[in-house]
Amino acid sequence: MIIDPKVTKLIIFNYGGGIVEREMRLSLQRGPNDFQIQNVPASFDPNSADITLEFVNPGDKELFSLQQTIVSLPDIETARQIIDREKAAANNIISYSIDFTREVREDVNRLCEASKYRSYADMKGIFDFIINAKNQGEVIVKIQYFITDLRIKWQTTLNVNVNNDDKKAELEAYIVVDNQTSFSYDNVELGFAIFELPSLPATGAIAPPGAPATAQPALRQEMLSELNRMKKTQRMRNLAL
Amino acid sequence: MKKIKANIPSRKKIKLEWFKSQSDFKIERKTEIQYNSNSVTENKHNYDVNIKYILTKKGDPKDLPSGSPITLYKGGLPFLFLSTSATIGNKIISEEIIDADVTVDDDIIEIKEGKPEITFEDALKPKEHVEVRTRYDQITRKIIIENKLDNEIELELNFKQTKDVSFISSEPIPTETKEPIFMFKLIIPSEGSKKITLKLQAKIVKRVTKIKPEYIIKEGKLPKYKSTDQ
Repeated sequence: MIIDPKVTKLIIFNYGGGIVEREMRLSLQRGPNDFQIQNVPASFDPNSADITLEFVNPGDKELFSLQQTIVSLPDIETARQIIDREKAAANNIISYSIDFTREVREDVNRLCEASKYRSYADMKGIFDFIINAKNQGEVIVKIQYFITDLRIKWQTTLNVNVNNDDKKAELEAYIVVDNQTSFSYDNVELGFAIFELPSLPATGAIAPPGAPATAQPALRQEMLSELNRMKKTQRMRNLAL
Repeated sequence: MKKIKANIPSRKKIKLEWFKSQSDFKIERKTEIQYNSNSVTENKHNYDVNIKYILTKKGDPKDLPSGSPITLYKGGLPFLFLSTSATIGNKIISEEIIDADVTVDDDIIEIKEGKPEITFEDALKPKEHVEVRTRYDQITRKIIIENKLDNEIELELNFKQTKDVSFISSEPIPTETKEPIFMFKLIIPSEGSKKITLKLQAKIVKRVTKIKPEYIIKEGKLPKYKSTDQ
């Protein structure tokens, strides 16, 4: 069964990426129940993908058990070909739209823009799971995964209104969330953390647009220097809201 | 803890109110001076004055990531754009930037050369040795700090001793001494200046490689060269 659990919480890292928490109440039939989660970005980290079952009734613990999860990412080469073709088509449509009226042209641009900025991280990953049920019933499924897409991040801005005496000031702080991915999150609880995902080659983190493409020798050099460098502690700090 | 719920649409930026608070506002201006045996005798030096802003927030501490933008407003108008360097507890510290409105000029006044003391060291070649001439010069330098702003400023000037240049005395005397740093806390009036005269001792060492006297050929006693031609 295809399911689309609601994103309940999104913890965003200031250097990009984050943790997605989703939740859904599911009806189970006797026997194995297969579920396919929709709208999982290809930037999700399959190793961090986790499912926990929350039982509606205390006795359900004996009846329902998570058999397995199945995770996979789309093939990079195939995804690249699809993206390239979509981009070429979007560019053509945008250039031909010059002949249309301004209103139509703006609509075309808006529709094609998403294809133009599409990247591997905007493709869909596979995250399936099987729950074994000894009886019919309901269970709440909590899903959690990391997203390594650096195009979603946050930063703060601080306005300081200095008094005339230069001794006191009023502070006004804002959090600016920048989501340049193709995924939207509606009415979601937000968390903010100061954290940097490990460097690109190790995690396959998706760089934001405009980041220089890593050439092969440079990549090798970076990997070698990474091996030689001793790791530093990097503790995630949650922002007090 | 406050919970924030919001819509995060695709390819958009959203701005959320985080906190509003009162804070203490402090400006820190610093300049560092140190010399080596060469630079201490130069005619002129100019130094930058580094400025940073420290905001001590009232209420709960908030952790701002380093590099977050800060805009300073006065009278409702923005007057400076900079970013955070660190947050320590309730303190939000800005990055250090150069204050272009405060200048520090450093000129030489006097050099009193000391008497050289000559010692010898071995050279690479056995027929040579290194003559080491060490002397201690007394150098007087005048530092003029000028405030071009229309308000009075506080400035911390730190003179740091090095292995070659040490502090003898100064006019005015340092506000605080924590060797090797001699700190001068100055208050400079608007469009005014302050002077500091430093009396320093510099160790000047010169090394010359020379042929040992016993190997120097004396005049009129040139050695007779044997011809190798057969």
